[in-house]
Amino acid sequence: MIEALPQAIALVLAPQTLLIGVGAALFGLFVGAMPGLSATMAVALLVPVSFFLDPVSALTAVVMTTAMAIFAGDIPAALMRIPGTPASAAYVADAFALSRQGKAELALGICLVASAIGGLFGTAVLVLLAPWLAEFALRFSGMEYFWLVALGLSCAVLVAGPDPLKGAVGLLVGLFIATIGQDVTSGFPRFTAGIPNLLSGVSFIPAMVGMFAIAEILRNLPTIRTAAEVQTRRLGSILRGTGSVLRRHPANLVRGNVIGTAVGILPGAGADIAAWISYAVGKRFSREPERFGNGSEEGLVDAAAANNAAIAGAWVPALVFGIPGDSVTAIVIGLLLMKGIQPGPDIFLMNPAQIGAVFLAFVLANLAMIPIGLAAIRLCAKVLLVPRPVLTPLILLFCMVGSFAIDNDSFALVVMAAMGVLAWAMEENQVPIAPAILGIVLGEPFEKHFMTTMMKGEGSLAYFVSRPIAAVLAGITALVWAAILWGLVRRRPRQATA
Amino acid sequence: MRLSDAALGLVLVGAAAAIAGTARSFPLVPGQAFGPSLFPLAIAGGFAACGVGLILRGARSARRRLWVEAGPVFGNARARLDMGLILGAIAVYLIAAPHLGFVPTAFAILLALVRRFGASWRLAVTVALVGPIALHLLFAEWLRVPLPLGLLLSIRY
Repeated sequence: MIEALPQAIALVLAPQTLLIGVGAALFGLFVGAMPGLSATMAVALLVPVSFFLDPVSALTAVVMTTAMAIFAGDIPAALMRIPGTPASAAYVADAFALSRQGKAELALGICLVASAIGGLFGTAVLVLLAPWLAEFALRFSGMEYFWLVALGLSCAVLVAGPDPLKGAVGLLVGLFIATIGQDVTSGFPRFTAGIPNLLSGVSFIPAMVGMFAIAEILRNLPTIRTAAEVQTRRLGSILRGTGSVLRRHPANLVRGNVIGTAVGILPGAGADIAAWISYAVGKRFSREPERFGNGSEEGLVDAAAANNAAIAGAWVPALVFGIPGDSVTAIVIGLLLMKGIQPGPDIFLMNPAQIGAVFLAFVLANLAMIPIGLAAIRLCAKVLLVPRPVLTPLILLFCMVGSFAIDNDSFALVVMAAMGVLAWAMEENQVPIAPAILGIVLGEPFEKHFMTTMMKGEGSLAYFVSRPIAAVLAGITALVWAAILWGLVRRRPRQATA
Repeated sequence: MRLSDAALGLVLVGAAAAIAGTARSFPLVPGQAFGPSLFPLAIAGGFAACGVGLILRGARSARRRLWVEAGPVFGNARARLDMGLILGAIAVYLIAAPHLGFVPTAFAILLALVRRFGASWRLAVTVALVGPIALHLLFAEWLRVPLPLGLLLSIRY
C-alpha cells in the first residue's frame, strides 16, 4: 500500500481531479444544505456525470460530495430548524435552540469542526482497517462470500428501523428486483415480461436516481409551495468559542467518532442512524441530559462527529468485500462495476494507487471542509432562498437526462419512474429503502455464491458450513436473525400500528 | 397511499403467489435438482412469511385502522395532481423528445412545472430558457451524450 503513495498523490493532485473535487464539494454543499435533498440523492445525481470520468476523479467527486453534503445538512438545521439531510435530524432541536439563544455561530462552528474531526477519524480507521481486512479476505472462497453477503443483508434488516418485519420486506423487494433479467447460472430470462431491455437486469443507476431523487420529489410535493423562513441575521465569527467547547467535551468527541465509524461499517446503516445512536448514547452518559433537545452543545458534538465519521466507515466493507455500508456506497459499488472494477480484496492488490487516491481524497475532503464550510455558512442564507418551485422541475429534468445518459436508452426513464414510485410507496408504508438498495446491489452475488456452493456441495446444505470461517460467519448470521426475531416478539401490538 | 398492516400483508401474499407461479415455469438445469427458480421461490417464501406476519399483527392490533388511508400526497388534491404532472412530464418527454428534440421538450416541461408550482411567469420563462441549454451543454456537448436533437437537427446541420 505504502509503495503506491507517490502514485496515489499524483492521481489525486492531478489538475482535473482537483477541479472536479472542488466542483463536487460545492455541489455537495448546495444539495446538502437544501432541505429535502439528501446526500444520497446528491450522489445519485452526480453519478450520470461521474460515469464519464476516470475512476479516481469519479470516486473523489463522490467522496467530496458526501462529506460536504452531510456537514451542510447542519446549516439549515441551525438556521431554519429543518435538517438539510436526514443525517442532521437527530440534533436539529439543539442546533436551532442555540441559534435562538443568539449562538448560531457557535452551533455552526461546533458542527463544522466536529464534522471535520469525525471525518478524519473515520478516514484513519478506513486507511488502517481496510487493507488489513482485505489481506484476511483473500483467503475467502464462494462459500465465505455467501455468508458474508448473508450477514450484510441480515444486518441491514436489523438496523433498518424500528420494525424488522418491514425491514425484511424492504430487503426482499431489493432481492426480487435483482432477480429480474437473465439468471446468473443458466442465462434463463426471469420476470422480464418479454421486454428485451430488461434482459440484462434493471439498470442500476436509473433505479438509484428513481429511488432517491424521484421518490424525494414526490414526497416533498405537499410542501413545495411553502417558502422557507431563514434566519438572515448577519453572522459573526464562526470559530470563536468552538475550540473551548470541544476541549470541554473530549469524551463526546471520541465517542461520536467511534460510534459513527462503527455504525458506518455496519451494512445498511449510514450517517443518519449513526447520528441518532450517538446522540442517544451521549444523552445517556451526559451529566446534563435535560439540556439535550434544548441547545445541548454536547449533543451537537456527539452527533455531528458521528455522522461524518460514518461516511468513511461505510467504505470499509464496500471496498474490502463489495458489501455497501450505506446507500451512498451502494451507488459507489454500482459505479465501480460499470467501470469494470470489481470491489473486493483483490482491488487492494490490483489497484493500490487508486485505493490510495480514494483515501487521500477523504483526507483532503475533511481538511478542505473547514475553509469551504466557513464560506458556505456565509453564503448559505442566500442559497437557501433558491425557490423550490424552480429547483424541483430542474432536478426532475436532470434525473431524466442523467438516467438516459448511462446507456443512451430511453427505457431507463421508465425504470427511473417505476422505481421512484415504488420507493415513494415503500416509504409511505414505512418499508425502509436502505435494505432494498442492499438487496439490489448484493442480490446477484448472493445468488451466484449460493448457486455455486449448492452445485459444489451437490445440493447439500451442510456443505455451506463445512469450512471454519464459513461456519463462524453462519453462526453470526444466525445470531443477527435471532436478534431480529427477538425484536419482533418483544414489540407490543400498540407500537406495531403506530 | 398508506396501507394498514393487514392490507400490506395481503398485497405481499399476493406478490408471493405471483412470483412463485411465474418461477415454477422456469426450466431446471439438466442434471440438477434445482435451477433458476430456486432463488425466486425462496424470495416468494420470504414475502409470504412477512405477509402472514403483517396480517397476524393487523388482526391482533387493538386499534382498528382503515385498510387504505390517503396519506399526505394522495390526501391533498393539489399534491395528487402535482404527482400526476411529474410522472406525466416523464411520459411527455419519452413521447415528444425524439420528435421535437431535447431543448424544446425540456423548455415546455420546465415552463409548465415551474409555473404550476407557483413561480412568476418571468421566473418560469427564464428557468425554462436557461435550464435546458445548460443541461444540453453539460450532457450533449461536454459528455457527448446523444440527446435527441429533433427540431435542432434541421437548424444545426
